Amino acid sequence: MQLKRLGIVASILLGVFTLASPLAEGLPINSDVGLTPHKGEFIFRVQGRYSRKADDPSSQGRKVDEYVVPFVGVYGFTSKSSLLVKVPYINRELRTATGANRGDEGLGDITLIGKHRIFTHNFKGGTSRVSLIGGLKLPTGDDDERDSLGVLPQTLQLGSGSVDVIAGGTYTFQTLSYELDADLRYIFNQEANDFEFGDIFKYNLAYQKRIFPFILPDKGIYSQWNAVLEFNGQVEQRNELGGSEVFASGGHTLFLSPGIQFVSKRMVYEFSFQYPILQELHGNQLETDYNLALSFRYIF
Amino acid sequence: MKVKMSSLFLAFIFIALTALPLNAEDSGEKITIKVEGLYCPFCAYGLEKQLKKLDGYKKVEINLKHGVAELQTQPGATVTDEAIQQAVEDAGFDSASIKRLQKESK
Repeated sequence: MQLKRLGIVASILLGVFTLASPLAEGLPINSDVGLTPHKGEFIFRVQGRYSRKADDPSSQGRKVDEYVVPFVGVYGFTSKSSLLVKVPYINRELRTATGANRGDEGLGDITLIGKHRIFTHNFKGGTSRVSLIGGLKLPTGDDDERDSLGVLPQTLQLGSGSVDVIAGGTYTFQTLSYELDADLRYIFNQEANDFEFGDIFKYNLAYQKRIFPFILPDKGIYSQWNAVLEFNGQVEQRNELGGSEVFASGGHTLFLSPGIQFVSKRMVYEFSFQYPILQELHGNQLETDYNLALSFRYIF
Repeated sequence: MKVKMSSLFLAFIFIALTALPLNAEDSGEKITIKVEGLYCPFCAYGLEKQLKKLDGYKKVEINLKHGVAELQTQPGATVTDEAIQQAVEDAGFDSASIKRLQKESK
């Protein structure tokens, strides 16, 4: 298991450093944007995300380590409409003080998201845009995995087993020196295997400031470094098992996410650290210590 | 004799001046497009790609700081304003103005 994790991390790092070229895009790291790809444009993004949950209010001494590598492709059908496909590779492991380890590894649920830009105001050196999004999460990940203790809890499965609906909106105001993004998203989770994850409401606010070059070159397309600061919030309803609410589920989490980003003509490299500044979770749930995200994007 | 010399000289000048354009190679047009909405290296690349899809393009240069794209056409090629505007719109931007600065010859 450890070797597999190392393999994932090594693959990401290898990808990031071998594909380095003077090429890419200015976008927040954990939030969505009102921007859409250009007509006929394909953008590939791969991210390595690590999440550590070790703050257990119960006496079970639980710890969860989660590694997720989402592979994302976005295609612009027109200058206003695009389709995003996300395929995550997940490694999730729960450990307890008694030494019991449970978890799984493999492909998770695939997400399809369509985006349509409904408002554009272009001006010299900047733009302001609003887009609507709608999508589906498909049950492609395993949702009935077992180990020596029996069927894994739904929260440890790679997939939810249900087709879930996603809807939301995004806003972006971007100039040559800074960018402001805000997005709202609601996920209508459905029932599967007699279990239903609670609906999720996500809200994000992101600010990016160009820190280098300080003075823009008079000619050409330059590369730039951005400092990124995001607020990433999530409100989850309680899960339901057999029609009854699971007490220790759902709640409100808000992350403060500083990051750094290198943007060139066709490629973006970025790193983000997410620290929870608010965790109001129902019952004895594990709290998140921190999340890390390392990613790159390439435009074809 | 004097008259003949001056006539020959004038004829030479006339031939030289009129023959020059016939021997010259048309190097195409240089078109300057002011673009609204350019905000980052990534979007500039998108515009560059769309302009390079135009029939008759020879060279494209984007000046991100000033929001200007310069398009050099191939000799004899004609790129219409409508085609340029469509390329700019496909990239997600607006063209504020299109100026055909010169018809270069050499």
